[in-house]
Amino acid sequence: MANILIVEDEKAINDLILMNLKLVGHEGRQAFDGNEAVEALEDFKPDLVLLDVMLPYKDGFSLMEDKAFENIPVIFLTAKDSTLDKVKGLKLGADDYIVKPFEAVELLARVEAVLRRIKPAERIINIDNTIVYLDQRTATVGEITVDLTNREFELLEVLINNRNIALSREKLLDLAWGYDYFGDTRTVDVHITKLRKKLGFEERIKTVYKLGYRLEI
Amino acid sequence: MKLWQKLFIGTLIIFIIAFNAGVLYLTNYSYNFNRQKETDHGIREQEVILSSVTGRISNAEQFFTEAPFNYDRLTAIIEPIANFYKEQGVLLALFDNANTVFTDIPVTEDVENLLKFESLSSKNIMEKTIEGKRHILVASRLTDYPHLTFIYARDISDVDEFRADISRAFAIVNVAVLAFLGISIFFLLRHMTKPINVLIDTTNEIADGAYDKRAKVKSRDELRILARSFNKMAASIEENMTLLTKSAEEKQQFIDDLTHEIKTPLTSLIGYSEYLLAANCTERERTIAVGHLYDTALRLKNLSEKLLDLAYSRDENIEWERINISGLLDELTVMVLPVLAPRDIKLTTQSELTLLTGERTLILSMIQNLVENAARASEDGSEILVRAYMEDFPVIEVTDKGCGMSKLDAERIMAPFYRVDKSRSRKFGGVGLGLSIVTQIASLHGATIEVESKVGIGTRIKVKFTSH
Repeated sequence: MANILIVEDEKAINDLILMNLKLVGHEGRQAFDGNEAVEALEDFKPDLVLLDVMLPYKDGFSLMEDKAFENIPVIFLTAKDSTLDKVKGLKLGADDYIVKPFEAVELLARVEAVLRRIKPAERIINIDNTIVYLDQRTATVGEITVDLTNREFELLEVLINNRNIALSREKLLDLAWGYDYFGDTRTVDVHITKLRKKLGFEERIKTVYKLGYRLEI
Repeated sequence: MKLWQKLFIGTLIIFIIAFNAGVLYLTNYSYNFNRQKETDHGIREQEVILSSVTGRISNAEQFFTEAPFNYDRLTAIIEPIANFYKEQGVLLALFDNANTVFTDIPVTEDVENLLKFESLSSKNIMEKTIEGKRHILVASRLTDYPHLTFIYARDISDVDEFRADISRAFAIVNVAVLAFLGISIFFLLRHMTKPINVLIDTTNEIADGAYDKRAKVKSRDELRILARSFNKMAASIEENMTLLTKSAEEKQQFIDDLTHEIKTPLTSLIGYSEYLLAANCTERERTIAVGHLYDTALRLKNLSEKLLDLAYSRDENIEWERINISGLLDELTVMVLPVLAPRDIKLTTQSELTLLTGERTLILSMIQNLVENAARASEDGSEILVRAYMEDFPVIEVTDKGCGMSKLDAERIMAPFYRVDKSRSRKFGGVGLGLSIVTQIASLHGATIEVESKVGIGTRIKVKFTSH
């Protein structure tokens, strides 16, 4: 997938981000201050930088002003949630802004969105002998094209984007079909059953006790 | 209505009343005086003319022994005299009992009343308007011929005219004086009440929040004293407002910083809990996550403890007691052992100070915080020295051979949550409140804090109990 540079001085947060990115198949490199971030670029070519604002030696804004990450998309990651800081970050050329505390799902969604905008590679997921063409919105099992309804495909896309992370039924409902979708969590169960059957994902889409569903790859 | 307007109208009304009452009194006084003079003059003149008439009648009586009081004769006597006086505005008449002998005065009922006398020598005096002019009428009987009555009428309309003239003159003077007075008082009052307007304007400005405004009053009277007191009050309000604002800002800053301080551990707590719940992860990753959770929880515990210490050290009710410093330092050595021992940091204490007054728990907490800070700045195996000694006042001093800090950092370290090296501080469990607690306790004891530091050499912090 993508190579991501994580610049965050707080080790716990840095580890957390890396662990979450790894779940969905990204590779990460950790830097704990401004100088380390610049040094890391010598032997690591990131597709995306997650950048904290408050950093020892050289803060995130200064790094942006020095064009340390030219031509590399940047998402700011900070506890500062004032509008001014957001505007400043975006004006300095950042692609997005995430405020702590954040949810893993939100972080991954924003990373995904920026990566897709910057590097519109064809997104094809190959699991067992099932292939999902995310851009064409089709899937095949072996050589046979599977007939998926729109709603089923939307749910599948959410599961793929958040693979290896369990999502509650409410979250799935919300992410796949939006807040205004009229339906209850039973609808999610029905569609999950259909996806398992149609794609042969009985072992891949796990039911996580008391939580929801997780696509394991 | 404004004060100057009230004063203005009030003064004018009082002036008009007083001035006109005076004028009226004077006019009447002079009128009455003049009239009395005219009357007296009339009475005397009537006597003169009467004696002359009496003389001629007496002559005629001797000359014309038969019918001396023939009316034609009497008329012949009096007419030339009457004609003579008529030119001087004097009218004469002569009656024989109730019968008219001669008259220039129109005879009316009230003139006939003049003929009734109380006694032989009495005079009847009356005022009467004849041909539109006021006359004074004087009547008396001839002493030698009591059946004859002589009436004298004198034109005294001059007195009325004089009163009318003087009234007109006074009216003109009245208007002129009033105008002059009005204009003078107007400007005088405006000038004198100007400081009041200045005070009102300034008060309004201050009420609207411009606390730096002051009233500028130049007059040398009570208003200037008032303005001075007012300015003094404004200055004290401004000072208090500045203090309040500053204190509010500091509190807000503290809350903002605290919010920020708490956000990072929260992110970690939420993130790792979520990860453990939802992620399809290995046992190794699970262990890392739980380790981070544990560290974060410990950090929050530290933070809450320090916040409590800070809250406690804000309580201004100090229980002053005499503190045995050697005993205190021994206790300190035991207390900081869990922090120093694992890192092999050596703590030396020297006490040349026998007694110090203050609250023991607070002083101990203060030194403990200083030693913990020193430990965080020090390398493993380093040394920390705590000394208590006497200069002109008691001093407690904590010296380390740690990383030290720049001058800029040394100025800022008292601020809550300020850390010279954040990651280093966090590594050893610092939450950035130690020196805030120290500052707080020191100020409660009237002590000042002095920081000497050199990068790479170490730091010395002195607490000087200058108020002892």
